[in-house]
Amino acid sequence: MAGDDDIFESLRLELRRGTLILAVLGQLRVERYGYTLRKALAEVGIEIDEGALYPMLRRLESQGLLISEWREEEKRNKRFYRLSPLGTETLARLIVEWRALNRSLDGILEA
Amino acid sequence: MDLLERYLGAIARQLPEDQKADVTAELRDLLLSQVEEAEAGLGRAQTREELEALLIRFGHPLTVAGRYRKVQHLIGPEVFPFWWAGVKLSVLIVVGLYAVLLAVELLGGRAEIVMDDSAIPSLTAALVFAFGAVTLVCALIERFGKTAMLTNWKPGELPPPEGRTRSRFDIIAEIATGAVFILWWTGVVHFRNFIPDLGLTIDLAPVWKVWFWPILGYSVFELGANLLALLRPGRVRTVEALLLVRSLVAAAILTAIFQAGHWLDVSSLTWTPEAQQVAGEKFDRGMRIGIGVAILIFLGMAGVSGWRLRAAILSARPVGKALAA
Repeated sequence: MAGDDDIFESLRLELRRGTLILAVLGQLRVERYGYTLRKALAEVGIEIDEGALYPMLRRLESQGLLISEWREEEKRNKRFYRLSPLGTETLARLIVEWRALNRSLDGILEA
Repeated sequence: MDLLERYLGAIARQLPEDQKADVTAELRDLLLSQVEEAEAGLGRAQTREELEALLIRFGHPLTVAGRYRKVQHLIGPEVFPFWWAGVKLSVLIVVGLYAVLLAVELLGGRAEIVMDDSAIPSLTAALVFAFGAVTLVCALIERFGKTAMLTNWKPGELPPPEGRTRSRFDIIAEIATGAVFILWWTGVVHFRNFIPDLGLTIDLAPVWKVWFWPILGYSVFELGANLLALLRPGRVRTVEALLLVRSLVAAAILTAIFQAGHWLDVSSLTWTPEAQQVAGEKFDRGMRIGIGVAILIFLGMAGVSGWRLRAAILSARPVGKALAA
């Protein structure tokens, strides 16, 4: 039987999973490559496994939310990502949704 | 860095051709950035063991490559309950079929496939096949995004409360018996030593050949009606109407066959003609009783179905009126 800590950890991961896309889209309002994106997220307290981050970036790009470009930096080719116009529009809608959800949850949790 | 290239090569082998170069180039950059960061912290080059540890943390090549695959699971959470129900149902049907075959074996017979005189596949092989077939169908539904085929439903098609229709056990038993009968009737399987060796050869009389196609048609119809009753128990009126029709058809076919008065041909190389005649008459008497009882059973079934069909039609009144009544 799973211990209390295991249950908490699994619920915590589930809770965070849905918010990661929002965090990634939010960070890519500024152009970044994968490694710096991950570091930027870590600096604000959002740890993301690179095994999940890179496939997510590709999926978001294939959905038209991101644009990527290969460029040389620090003597190495790097793939830079940024929001596409559709990504910018989608992020704005997601932010509205997130804030509304947050308000609702605050109402429940602070009652 | 040979180790890094081997690692990237192992990932690349698992990726689709059009993604290989792109994904590995990006992963190479990411891993090199991590190596550089670690080396900057250490103030020296990484050892082979440290690089190995980094790669192990990064993940098994199959896991890393798998995350780039469009399909992440064979059967997703939406299809899973239908897959599970399908597996349970197919297992019940297969076990039912083999229970009928086992019953035949307990009576001394042995089922064989006529085409090559080979034995019927083992229960384990049949179960594995059924499991594989259900999994394949569900995986294809998942793969081609046809989950709506499963998830679209109508509350009106929910089965009625327990006790008002035939039990699943009865239906599965009928399906299993019907399937074995069709296989025998069409000559796909035959049963060896089913009748104790009395020195007699017993064959079906010509009347059965005359009625071969109607009986086969009836059996297939019965199998289809039972499968519908099993898979769509909520279609009470259709299920009961089919049961009514098939019971009446079965009674009619048997009544016609009953008129023949002779159903089994008995012959022997060792018995005298008189003894053969007496034995033939005894077998026919047994058949007369058997067919007569079967006709009465089918008529009884038709009566029950008719009553249930009437009840189902009456209960299909609008909910508001039913509640007001």
